[in-house]
Amino acid sequence: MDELDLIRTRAETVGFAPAEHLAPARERLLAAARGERRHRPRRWFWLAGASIGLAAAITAVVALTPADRVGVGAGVAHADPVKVLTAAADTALKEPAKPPRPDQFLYVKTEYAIPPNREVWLSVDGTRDSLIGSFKEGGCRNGKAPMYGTNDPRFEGKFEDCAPRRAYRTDLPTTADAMLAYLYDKEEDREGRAGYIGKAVYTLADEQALQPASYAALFAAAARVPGLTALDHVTDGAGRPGVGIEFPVSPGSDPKAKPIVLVFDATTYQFLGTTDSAVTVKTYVDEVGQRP
Amino acid sequence: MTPEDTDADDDASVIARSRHEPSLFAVIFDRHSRHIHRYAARRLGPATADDVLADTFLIAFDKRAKFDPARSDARPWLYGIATNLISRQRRAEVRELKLRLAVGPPAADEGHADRVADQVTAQALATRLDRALAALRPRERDVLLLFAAEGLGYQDVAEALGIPVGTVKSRLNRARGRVRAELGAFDLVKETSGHG
Repeated sequence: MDELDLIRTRAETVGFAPAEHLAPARERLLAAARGERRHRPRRWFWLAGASIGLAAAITAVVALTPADRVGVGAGVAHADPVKVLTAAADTALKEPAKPPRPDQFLYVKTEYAIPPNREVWLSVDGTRDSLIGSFKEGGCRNGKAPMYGTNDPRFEGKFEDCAPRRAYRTDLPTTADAMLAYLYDKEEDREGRAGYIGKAVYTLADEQALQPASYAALFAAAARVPGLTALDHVTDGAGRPGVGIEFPVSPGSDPKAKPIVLVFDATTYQFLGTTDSAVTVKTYVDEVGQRP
Repeated sequence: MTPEDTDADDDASVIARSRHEPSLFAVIFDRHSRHIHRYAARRLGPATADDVLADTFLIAFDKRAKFDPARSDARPWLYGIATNLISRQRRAEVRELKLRLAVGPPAADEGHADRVADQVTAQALATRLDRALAALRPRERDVLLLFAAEGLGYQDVAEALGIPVGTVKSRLNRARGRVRAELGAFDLVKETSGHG
């Protein structure tokens, strides 16, 4: 078996979707063929998430504490995911709010239980070229971004339409309710979507910078997701000990898929990463490639 | 004229007829949509794949007048449109590769003495493979995945991406070299012998 066989085997864990799952796309095509005006395509929610349309799992309903209660203190029972996430929200709220300059870059270093590690330099205001690992991603200026790493060399450095992707987010909700609605992305059917929300929370917590109120709202919103489990004594991807919050796997996932587990420091409730990744450095720098 | 009348026709002639009978383009959808959706799901996850599928066929429909009538099979062309859409989602793809918690190769036969150890190794190997794919140059990842995961030949990959066959081969070699270097800690032949 060589690496090509390995890639093929890995790909085969994702099979064909049933025909009815593809029906909406077929409908959109037929509507276009009939010359009907198109719906604007749905906003790309750039998180790859859970499979939907399958029988929703029955999830245990967790008794919720008001998530905006602050000052949980030292007596938190680790066995309760709501209390852990509420404490994490409280910690996030106390972080000093130091907005970066628009021309700076968010530098994040992620260490993995299984290498390689990852470093990114993301433009704070989205207008400058970012660096992801060793690859450039064009910044968006006046609605146009240069393309890098194109398949066709003729397009290298040419411009495409864009919207700036800001690493420092000032556009996110600051209450648990509004944040939860944002994470579900207009999804009415919320049954069995915990795994999707786990990924969404991780995505906002690791390589983006949020204002303290949004950061707090993120964990307070997560506390309202049913079916979570708190795990004592886990380690993050760099081996740092902490308490874990497990988001159950969405129905319809591969039978061997593992749930995502977010890890928080057991004393301070600061977000550390997941059981296989660790955000070890997160700060602002002035130049791409610069390390603090 | 109904879609049933198209069974014996190749893609080029169906697409040619769809210029005057637009609804016939649904025949092209029915022939290839499963593969395009699966390709997008493998690269971006199932939720985003639905959008990629719909947008791929809307773009293909708009460009159907430009389809080369000498090509009997439209699938490489559709793979190319989907790849362009996926390339706009690079951050999402790399994130999906990072978050795809290891699902290893199928379990070894029951009774295999080291089955549990094998599974642990397989999971670690799968995770390392995902990390290696995430670290590739995007254009090399495109070639490698079309070739290895989707099973397109050199010529089809070249057609899909609009690049010469020689470029396909050199990118594939570079990508394979990088992945092998990342997997270096594993003896692939030894570690996977139990998984056939």
